[in-house]
Amino acid sequence: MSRSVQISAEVSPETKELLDAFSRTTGIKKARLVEDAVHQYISAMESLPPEAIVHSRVVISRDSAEQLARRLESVPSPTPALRELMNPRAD
Amino acid sequence: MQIRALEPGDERRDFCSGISEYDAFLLRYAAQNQFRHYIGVTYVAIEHGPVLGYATVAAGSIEGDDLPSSLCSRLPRYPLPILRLARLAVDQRAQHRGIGSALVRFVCQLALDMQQSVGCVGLLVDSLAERVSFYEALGFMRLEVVSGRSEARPLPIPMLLPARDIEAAIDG
Repeated sequence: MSRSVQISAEVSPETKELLDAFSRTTGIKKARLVEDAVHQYISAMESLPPEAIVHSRVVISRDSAEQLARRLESVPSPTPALRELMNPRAD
Repeated sequence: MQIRALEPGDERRDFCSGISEYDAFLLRYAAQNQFRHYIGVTYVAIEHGPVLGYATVAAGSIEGDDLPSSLCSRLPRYPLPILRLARLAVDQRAQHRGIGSALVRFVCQLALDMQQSVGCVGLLVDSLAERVSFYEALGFMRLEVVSGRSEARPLPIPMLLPARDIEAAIDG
């Protein structure tokens, strides 16, 4: 970090005490603690966890592929529920 | 009610579908997926204020694992394009108003548009266990996924509806 700037933020007394106590105990300067915490927080918010990722490539089993082939070869037969969904009545 | 792509300023902080993982996804990751990583788009149902429901979709492909030669002649050897509906949720305060069905209809139409513009064999939905019967009634078939299974929680069940069935439903 080439230079520093001052920021002002209001926090709860409990948070300030937590910060003070941790700084006293570990000897880490409060400025360093705040700077690291902000970077780590933003990094965590910006990185996608595996459960948030939508995989684009799907590989299905041989049985499912067989069923899919049969389905794609057959004459389309939309169910009554699908017909109703896709043709909503204008009430 | 309007269904459109998520915008950065959409109010979603208080969205509560009853599935905390889905609520957290909308709040924390839907915009990142859409505006930063470009790996999916979330469509939201909106009236005047906050988001009432959402559906997250992404383009993808499907292929068979280690297909026998007999099957290769019936299914193309290359990956088939699909539209994947990864998540769909409705705020508890807006449930039983047909918003979920409207979102599914919107996504079915998207799959059809994709089929006609760039190619798409079907709509793959990652269904919640309790929604499987709903999708089965629409004609979705369950799939056994070897690779590319969603890691969302609760663990979803992959199901697929051929785009030509959607097309026939509208024509018929």
